Amino acid sequence: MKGTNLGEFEEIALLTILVLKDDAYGVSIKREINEQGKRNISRGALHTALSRLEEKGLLTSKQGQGNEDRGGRPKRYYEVSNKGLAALQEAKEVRDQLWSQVPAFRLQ
Amino acid sequence: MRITPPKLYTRLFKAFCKPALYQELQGDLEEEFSFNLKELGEKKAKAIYRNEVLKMLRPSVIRKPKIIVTMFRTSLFQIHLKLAFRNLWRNKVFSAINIFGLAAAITVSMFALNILYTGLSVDTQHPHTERLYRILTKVEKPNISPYFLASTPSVLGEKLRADLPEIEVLTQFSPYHQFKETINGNSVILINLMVDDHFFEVFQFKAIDGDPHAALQDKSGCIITDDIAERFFPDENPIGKILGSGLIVNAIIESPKGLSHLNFDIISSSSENPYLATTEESDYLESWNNYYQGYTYFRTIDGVSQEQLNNKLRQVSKEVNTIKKGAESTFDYRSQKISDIMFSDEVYNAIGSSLSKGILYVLVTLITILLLLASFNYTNLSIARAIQRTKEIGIRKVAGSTKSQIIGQILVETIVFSVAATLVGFLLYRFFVPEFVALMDTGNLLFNPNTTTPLLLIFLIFSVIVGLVAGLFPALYFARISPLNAFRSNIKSKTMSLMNIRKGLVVFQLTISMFCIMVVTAGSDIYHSIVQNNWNFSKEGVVSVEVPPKNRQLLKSRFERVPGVVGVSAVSSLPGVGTMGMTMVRRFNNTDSLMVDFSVVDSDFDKVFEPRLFAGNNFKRVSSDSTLTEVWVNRKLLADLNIPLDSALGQTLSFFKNISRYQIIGIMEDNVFERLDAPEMAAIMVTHEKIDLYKRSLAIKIESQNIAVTLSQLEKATKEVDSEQAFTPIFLNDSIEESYNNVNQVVKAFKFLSIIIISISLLGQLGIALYNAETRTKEIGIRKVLGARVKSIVLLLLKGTLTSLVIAALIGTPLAYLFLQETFWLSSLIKPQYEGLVLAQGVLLLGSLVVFIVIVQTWRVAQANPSESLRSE
Repeated sequence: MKGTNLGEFEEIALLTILVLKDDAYGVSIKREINEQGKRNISRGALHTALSRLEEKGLLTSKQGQGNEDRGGRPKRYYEVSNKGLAALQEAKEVRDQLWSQVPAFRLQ
Repeated sequence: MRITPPKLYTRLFKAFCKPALYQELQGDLEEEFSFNLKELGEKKAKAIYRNEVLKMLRPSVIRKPKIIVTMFRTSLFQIHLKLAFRNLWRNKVFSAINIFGLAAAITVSMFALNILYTGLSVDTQHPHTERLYRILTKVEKPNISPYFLASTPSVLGEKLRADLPEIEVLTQFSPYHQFKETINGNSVILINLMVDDHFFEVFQFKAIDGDPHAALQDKSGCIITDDIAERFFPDENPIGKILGSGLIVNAIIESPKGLSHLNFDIISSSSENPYLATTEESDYLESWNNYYQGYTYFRTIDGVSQEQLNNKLRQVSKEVNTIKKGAESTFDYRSQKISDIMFSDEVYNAIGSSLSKGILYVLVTLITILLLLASFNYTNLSIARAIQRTKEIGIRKVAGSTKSQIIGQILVETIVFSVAATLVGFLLYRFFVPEFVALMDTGNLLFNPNTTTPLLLIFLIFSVIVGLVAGLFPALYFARISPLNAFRSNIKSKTMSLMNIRKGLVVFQLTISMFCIMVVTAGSDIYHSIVQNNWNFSKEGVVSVEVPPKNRQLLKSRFERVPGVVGVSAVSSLPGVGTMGMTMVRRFNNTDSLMVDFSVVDSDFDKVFEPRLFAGNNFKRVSSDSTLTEVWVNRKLLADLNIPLDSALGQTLSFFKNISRYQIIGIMEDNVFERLDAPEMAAIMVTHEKIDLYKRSLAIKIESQNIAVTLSQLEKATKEVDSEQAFTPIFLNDSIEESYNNVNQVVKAFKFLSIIIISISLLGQLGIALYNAETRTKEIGIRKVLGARVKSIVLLLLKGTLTSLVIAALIGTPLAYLFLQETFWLSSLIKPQYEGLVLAQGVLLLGSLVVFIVIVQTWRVAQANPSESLRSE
């Protein structure tokens, strides 16, 4: 089971990377999550989540170019792997299924 | 100018971040910082940056500590070990100095560790120790600051049993120190613990023979410790033996030494003891003031907190304070966990042996100072050899060693040293244990003479720690050496600062040594001046014998007829040794009362001791008035009772409750009955009583010729009166020395310590001198070629040592002076008259020792033929 179940924050991170398409690296992911999710996560916390996802094989990463703002240091771009997409799909299905079973009046 | 993120935090991040992640993460942080800088301004951006860095402290980012990993990589460890042994072998002198210095320090520390460990591990063998408590009595009196006693009134036991259902079992007992007993024909003084029936329900001591629970049911039964059994019944079974006082040995238990804070040789039933006997109703209310002789210990039922207990006890104290009669003091009973007894704040009237917090601090400081001193030797000698080793480390670094590997290597090396030193130290320790036990009064000291496994383990851990401490500084220094610098011939700048550190350490060592040597000289001075004090009485040719009351009058008159005897006097205690006891005294028709030390003598006292009186007369041979007893007092007593000196003679005093009156007929000079190791003079009264009750011994003055003959005649006379009576005379001089034995013990212990400390420093000096002489061989050769003489070369090499000696003297002397002023000389009535001389003695003694060592070492080098020393290389 381990490796396919996604945590809430992991799910959001994966989705954000998909949203950002080719421009998904540390700073941009963090900014996007903070703006869209109206929360304030630290770069360190994000690093922990990303490295775990990569360990699970849900993410791939590659080194990119640096620029002056970064003191010439390279960026690391992230991309969701096929396994990651499958995991997201599965998570969505589980949720949809549960949502559909909730009686309508309970939600009012 | 470009604004950069806070540098300190960047450096911090770099230090803890995994190197592989650093580039990308730092890049992200910086990018965000510059973004925030534009959006939010400098202040906020920096704050966010700092916050972000701190939040990076998480397992996925932090690098793993490397030193530990590399230290334990076994192959490397083996190489380090091999290198350490090679180094140890190559510099034999250096190794020997280090190992013996460390060994000396470790030996002393082992004793201290033993005391600490034993102290911490006592009283764990009883059932449910965590629920064992003892009661402390806090006494509050008007005008006196409150104080804690370990003892309690006996009536408290019954009240607690009735009022506190939380108590499972409670026991009370009272110790009888100085219990005189005859065992198997030997008369000895023992500690007898008189206990009630519940003692062995609360405490547990392993039974060697017999059943301790049943042993005391018969009221004349008693239990002895295995120590006593071995001492007096080496080859027979002590069970069933009847002792001199009529007690029958019913059981043997293990000795409490090192096992419990309680201390006893023999346990008997308390039914005969007036202290624990039930009191009559009328006395009950007053007996609350009787809180000196007995102790109360109990075990609670499961699940009672100390706080609940103390609340209940507060209630009890309140009740007691309202009903009790007599003295005006109020009591507050507290509970103390049995595990808290060791290393607690000091309580009065403590039973057995306990170590107060003060002793704990002293021991810990002692260990620290000794180890620092010994470690400094290591550090010093390592620094001294730094240049030589720099090349070695340089080569290792060029070959690819990392910093942590170098640190590992040096630390392994020091640990090898310290473990070797521990082995030597342990041998010394085993050698000195019997001496230590003999020297110190082990009854009051917790010390386990057997080497147990946990103790060995502690020693081993300790030696590793010592190695780490000693090696840390050299290790860090060597690790920082850059391989480039290592091969440069000129490495002056760094070595210079190192040399300064080295000099600092040397001065520190010398200062402590100087301090010790001064304090020791002063201490033994005090002991000698006490013993050889100019007492204001004659002690020449005076011997004393202890005799039982029944024969005393008979023996006295028989002794007086022996030729060569000047006089015989029955006394309660000997002048010079101290007084017999204390009592309350007040002026007749006056309410002011005073605690005084008193002694009882008979009318021949002046004939034997010829005491010097400041004013007044000797005791009358025949007392005319039987209600009026003659007394001598000292000037302190008069001052305390506000009696003017000139009208003192003829005044009458009376005891607290007694009707009989005491008339002052003489005022003694000082130093007759005073204890000189007391911080201040006590009020003293010597009464001339005809009643024999208090007198214990006969003092006999013998003419100085033919002492031996007279003594043998005295012995014959004793046998004539009572053939059972032993005649064991003790010279007064010996009695006085014996009675100041505790001062002597402290001085002796301190002397021993100082010898260790000083030898460690001297070893260090020796090492440095050796090294200096060796490295400067060439320089000395050139100087000699240019015409320098041996004397001037030795002086040149001495210069550094002399400066450190002078600095050490300048720091050490005032320290020692202050220390002696504040603590040492305050606690004794006598002080040496020549404080300055004592201090100068210390400086000279240590100085000449050090200079001697340095000269001996340099002499050889200075003598060497320059053509020899300049030829090589």
